[in-house]
This record gives sequence, structure tokens and C-alpha cells, in this order.
Amino acid sequence: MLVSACGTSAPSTSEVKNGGTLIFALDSDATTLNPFVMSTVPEFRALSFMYPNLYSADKNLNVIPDLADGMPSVSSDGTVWTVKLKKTGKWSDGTPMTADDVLATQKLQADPTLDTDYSYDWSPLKTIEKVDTYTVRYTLNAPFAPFLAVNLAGYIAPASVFGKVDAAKIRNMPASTNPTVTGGPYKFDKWVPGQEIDFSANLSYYNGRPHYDKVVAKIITDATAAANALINGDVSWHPSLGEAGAGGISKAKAASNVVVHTYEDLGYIDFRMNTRKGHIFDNVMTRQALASVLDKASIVQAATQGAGAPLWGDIVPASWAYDANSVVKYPLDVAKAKSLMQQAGWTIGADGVATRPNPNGGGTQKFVGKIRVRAGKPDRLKAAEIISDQVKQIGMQLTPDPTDFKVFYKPIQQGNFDVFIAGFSLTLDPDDYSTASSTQLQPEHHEGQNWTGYSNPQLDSLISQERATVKSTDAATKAARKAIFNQIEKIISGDLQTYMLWADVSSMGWSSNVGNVAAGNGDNTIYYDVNNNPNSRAEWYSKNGK
Amino acid sequence: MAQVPPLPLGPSAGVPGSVPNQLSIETTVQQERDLAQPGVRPDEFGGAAELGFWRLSVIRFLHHRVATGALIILGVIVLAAIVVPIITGDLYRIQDYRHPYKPPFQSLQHIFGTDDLGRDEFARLLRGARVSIMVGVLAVVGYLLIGGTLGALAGYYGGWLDNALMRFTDIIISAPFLLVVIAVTAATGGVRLTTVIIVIAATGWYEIGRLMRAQFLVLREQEFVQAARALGASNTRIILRHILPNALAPIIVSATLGVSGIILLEAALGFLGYSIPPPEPSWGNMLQEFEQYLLDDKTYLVFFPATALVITALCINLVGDGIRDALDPRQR
Repeated sequence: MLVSACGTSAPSTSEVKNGGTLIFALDSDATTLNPFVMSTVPEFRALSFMYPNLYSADKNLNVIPDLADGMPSVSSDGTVWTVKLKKTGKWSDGTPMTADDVLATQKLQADPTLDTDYSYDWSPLKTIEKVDTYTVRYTLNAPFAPFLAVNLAGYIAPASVFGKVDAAKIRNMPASTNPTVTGGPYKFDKWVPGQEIDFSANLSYYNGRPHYDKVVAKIITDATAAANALINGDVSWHPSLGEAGAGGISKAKAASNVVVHTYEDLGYIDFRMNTRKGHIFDNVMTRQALASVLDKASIVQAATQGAGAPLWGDIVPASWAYDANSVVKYPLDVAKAKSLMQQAGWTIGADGVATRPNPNGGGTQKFVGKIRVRAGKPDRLKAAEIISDQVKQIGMQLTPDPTDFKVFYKPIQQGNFDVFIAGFSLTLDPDDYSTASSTQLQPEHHEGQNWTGYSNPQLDSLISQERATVKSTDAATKAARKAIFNQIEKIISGDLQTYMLWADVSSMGWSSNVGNVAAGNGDNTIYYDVNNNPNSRAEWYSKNGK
Repeated sequence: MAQVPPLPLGPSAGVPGSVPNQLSIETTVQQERDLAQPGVRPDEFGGAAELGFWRLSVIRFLHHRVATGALIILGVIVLAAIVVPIITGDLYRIQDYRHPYKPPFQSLQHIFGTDDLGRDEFARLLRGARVSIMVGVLAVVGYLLIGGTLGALAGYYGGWLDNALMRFTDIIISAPFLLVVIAVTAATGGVRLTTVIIVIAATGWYEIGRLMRAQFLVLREQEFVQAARALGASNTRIILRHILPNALAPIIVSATLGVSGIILLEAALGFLGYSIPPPEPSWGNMLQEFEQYLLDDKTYLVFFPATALVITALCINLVGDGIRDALDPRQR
């Protein structure tokens, strides 16, 4: 299996050949192959072989046209978006890909009765219409900047299959288990539940013939076992190599037949406090005390073993909107932390636990709480254990409380918690409306993910402003929004709306026999993952033809 | 110590081929009366001092070298698990997270090295021993209480009660243990050691229950029981004073073996993240935390808890076998 042991001379693209089978490790079985119902990463990984995207992400996470023919043209008021399609797209049943398919897909996504776990938000859209066979026009209620990355970058499904289905009963349609009409680089062959999903090359793929003849997604749920399979040459791609931990990554890196790419992911882990009145973290000075007693860099290193980049604001380094200098950082300063606790009204008692007059009524309130953390996530649990140990110095008694995912969010959604450590995976757009705007407070308002109880009118208005900033080109829009994001990040990190811990740093491993796995800036390979760029799948090839 | 069993008639009467009993019914009644009076020593029953059943068993056990050796090792482990954590105190959770992974056997301060947060592995191992052994013992006590009571009632009274209890046992046997643990953990809002113990006890008692029932079914028809009944002894008295002591031997063996089974089960649960929450260690969650280091040079973090687990379980099983041989020489 060992092909090229030395890495000095990169093979040129002229050597690209067709044939062979790509076997990759899928970390859990799909529950459906229906794109509208999919909600897990392994499912989207399977999807990225089968269905085309309208717009995709390039290696630097910029939105680029895929089935679309060029970037959308936007009216000067930012509300009318026109998208043209390539005329070469064909579904596997031979019919051309047209505006009807785009309309069918997006109307179904926008259908409020759609039975799905994945949240599609088409609320900014007023109307969608077919201008001609290859042109679609969107009219929005108001200018909405995330529209391109959130709504237009995504899969397109065939109208012949999904055009007339009942959105409420979509889970049980035949295409959920046997998607016969597809248009991505590979076609669906068969699905053996619990074992594998098989695909074969779509020879009429509009971006050119994919190089592998066959693709097999092998279900290997244990990341360590999958790492061994990669090293042994049983699989050629292990997308969740990072889950095998520092040991697994370093062993894979040491293997001469494996290439490991490590990249900053679109996701973060944070320490989210309940800032509502009467809760232990209701005062900004208390939160600043917490931030000042923690040595973030070394905590993140110890907890993640290098699989996390310390973070202060809620925009991750992988995003175009990231600016390391636009955040407020709290350096380790225990004396300052102690005085902040005093200023916030907490005095440390004889038992080492801080108390204050109970704001909820008579008596005193002790600084005692639980850090809710998901069971089975060792890095988060480790962070919780270290934090719990460190904050004792300033009289905070916080105990790690590992909880099963199925019931993890229930009390949080009811506002009934002290702190939780959670992971958030982000879209291509850095918009943080749902986790930071006070209109998204839960349980105060019906939905949303702003569970902290934090509300700040200035932050709200900046978020609305950022969302409404649409310029004639994508680059101009980004520049204008980035200036606003810098202000947003200052508020979030300064007020500690949430105490950020780290941005995910993920690792993927490939067999050195897989060609055209091109790493981008900073080894960034994220565009290969989930459904962000199906076309990249088509470019991989087997160097030895097997 | 060396108490004569409440009814010396019992064991020999029940064993075919044993020396025919020399005692008459009258003596038995006299003995019962004597036993009710404090201060009366067994020797005063008259006749030569006989070696009692239990004392004989102890002698037989001590002749079993492997079992005795296992018992000594087990005693050391249990003693260490009780004593060492008292001496080391909070050492098991004192972190040095900036300098983790001190290798083992390099310094006396951390003889087994330190873990991912720089905590002393030796202190954690023994603290974990406490958890593992405590879960094992408490859950077996639960087995004995639930299984013993239900089995005794079913076996003694028979009839519809027996039927009902045995069908209930069937239901318990078919309960998917892991799912029950996960469901109960979810319903009670988090991972708790008490939850784990209760669930293990509530779902695992059936073996002892069935064993107890079988013993009672046999023993209740024995002559000495009929004699006691003829003398007007109440059901409670017959169950507790006459049948139970004679039914104990196989139960003790089963319970001993049960402890090792539960320790392994706790480890499996800990491995899945359903045992005691941190910073408390148990062998299972120590294994779980360090599974990934199997691919690394930090295998000692897996090696120590795994070895401790295997040695303890093995010793308990050997002791259990020894007890079986000692209590029931026919089964050799």
C-alpha cells in the first residue's frame, strides 16, 4: 500500500488518473440519505458525494459559484438577488438542472411544515421566482447580508423527486433510503445500514468526471479504531481523525503512508454563564473576576492537547471576519480577580466559599454552582475540571456535572442553570444574531439560542446593522460588515456575554495515495468537509489506480 | 466467634450419606431453648466438642492455597483502598495541569506518575479502588436484600406468590441493563454513583433470587423443617432460623462472584461515562479517559487501572471458588 514515502516532490496534476476505490471512515451511520432531513455531520459527508451545491466554499471559506454561473447580482437596495445557473448540469436520470430544481429545493426548505431537525431560516425571503429556465430571482423583505452564505450556499435537489412531496411526511419517502436521482460527483449505489454506503462515479458530472470509480463510506464508530484503519491502509480518508485524540493524531502523523491536515474549524467551545438577575454570574465584575483567574492559553492546551486555539470573541480564526485585535483579553491576574469579587459584593467566608446578601430574598447567597458539561466529551470535561479547581482561589465553588446529551439542553432552555460548557458549530457566515441578540433570548422569547440572559441594546443595534449591510460585491459587503463585527466582538468579549474557551482545531487524515488533497492557507482543509464543496470530492484521485 | 449454627441438625440432616444424626427431637427443643438464653455456651450441650460446619469450612478454605493467596492479595488491596486515601487526602485531585504526564517510577513523589491534569496516579488508583469496591459490595448487598427476600418468599410459600415473583424475575432478566442505566441517568438529570448502584442492584439480583428460591424449595421439604413446623414454629422463625442458615452456602459463593462481576460492570459503565462524576476517579472512567493513549507513549495511564481491575476481579473469583470448595466439598 505504501506509495510515496518522500514528500519533497509534489506530484503534478498531469499525473491525475481515473479509477480505483476511495474507502473512507464515517464515524456513525446515517439515519437518512434525504438532504432535507439530514442533521448530523456524517450524513452531510455522505450528502457531499451525491448532491450538487448552488454555491460552495473555497479553501479560504469564501463563497464561490458551483452550479451557479457566477456570483449573484444584487440590486442597489440589497433586496433583489438574481442567480444564473450553468447550462451543463444534468441529473442522473438525464434531465437538465434548471431553475425549477432550485425553486423546488428552496421552497421545500422554506416550508414551515417541513419535518426536519436541521434549521433552515428563509424568513428574510419575500418571494422566489423563475425568470427563465436558468435564472432565479429572490426578493427579500429587507437587505440581509448572510443570505449568500446561509441560504444560497447549499445543496440543490431534483424537482422531479422533491417537487411534489408532502413536507410533513418527507422522512419516509423512498429517496430517504434510496436516492436514485442525484447530480453530484458520485451516484448512490447501496446502503448497508451499520456497515457502509457505496457510491460510483457520475460520468456526466457538470464539473468533469470524478477520478475515483467507486467510493465506499465505511462506518467505523470508534475514532481510535478508524485511526488504526487509516494507518493500516484499510481506509484512505479519516475525516474525524481529531476525535482519536493527540495520541491518534501523532501516531497517524508518524506513519509514512498517511498525510494529516490540521485546520481551524468553524466551531467553538465556550463557558456560558447565566447572567440573569439573582444568578451567581449576574454581575459583569464577577464574570471579569472569573476571566482574570483563568490562564486561558494553558487551560486550552491542557484540555485539548493542541486541538483548540484560545479564543476571546465569538468569531473564530477560520472566519473572514476574525480580527485578533478587536477583542478584550483578560490576562491572568489573581489579585485583580479577588478585588473584582469584592467590588461585586462577594466576600470569601471561612470555608473558602464566597457569599453575598441574597438578591432573591433574605439571608445570604453562596457562590455554589454546577458546570453542566456533556458526558463523553473528554476535552470539555477536562476544561471543566481545571476551571473548577482554579476558581476556588476566588471563592467560587463550581462542580463539573457531566450530563447526557439527550437531556443536556432542557434546563438550559428553561433558564435554569449556572454555567454550561457547550460547543457551537457555525455556518460560513459569522453572524451571531441567534446567540447574542436579546431578541433571541430563551426562555424569555420563544426561540433562539441566547440562553445567557444577556441583553444589551447597543449590541442588538450593531447586530441588526451588520445583517443589513449589503454592498454590490461580496468583498465590499465583507469589508463593511467586518468593521461592525469588530465593535460587536469588543462588547461580547469585554462584557463577557460568554467566556470563550477555544476554537476547534480539527484534524483529518488521508492515505498518501490520495492525490489532489490540496491544503489551503494554514493547512485549512475545511472546504472538503460536510457539504461545503462537493466538487473537491471529484478532484481526488488514486495515485496507484486502486 | 466459632458460633455453632442455630441448628446443628440442619446441614448433616440435609446431606445424604452423612453420619446419621444422633440427636433426638427433644434435644433439639432443649437446644432451641438454650439458644434463646444468653450466656449459654455451646459446649454445655454436653458431649465432645464438635467442629462446627463453619469452622470446618474455614479450615477447608485455608487448605486451598490459591484461594488463601488470593484472599491475602485482596485483603491488601482493600486495606490499601481504605487506608491510603485517608493518608493522602486530597492528593488525588490536586492538579498541576501545566505539567502533566510525569512518567511512572521516576520519583517517589509520584510513584505511578501523573495523569493528564498532573494528578497523582497512585492516589487516584487507590481512590478509584474505593469506588470500585464500594460499588461492588453495596450492589451485592442490594442483590442479597432484593434477590434474597424475593427468592426466599417465592421458594417458601410457593403457589401464586411463587408464580408472580418468578414472572417478575423474568421481566427483570429481560430488561436491557445499559438502556436502563442510560434512561435512569437521563431521567434523574445526571450521572450519580448512587444511581449506578441502585440500578445495578435493581436489575442484577435475579441470579441470587433464583438460587435462593431453589434452596428454599428443597429445604422446606426437609425433615428438620417439618419437625420445627410440627413444634409450632412460626413461618418467620422457620425461614430465618431454620432454612436460611442452611441455604446460605451457595448464596455466599454467588454473592462473592457477583462482586467481581459488578466491579467489571462498573468499569464498563465508567468507560461509557456513566459512573461517578469527576473529579472522583473510578477504574472505569480512568480507563475511559485514557483510551486514546493506547496509541501513544502514555500507556501507563491505561496499564495501571486495567491491571488493578484484572487483579482484583481475578482474586475475588479465586476466593469465590475457594469458598465454594470449602462450603460444598461434594462439588469438587
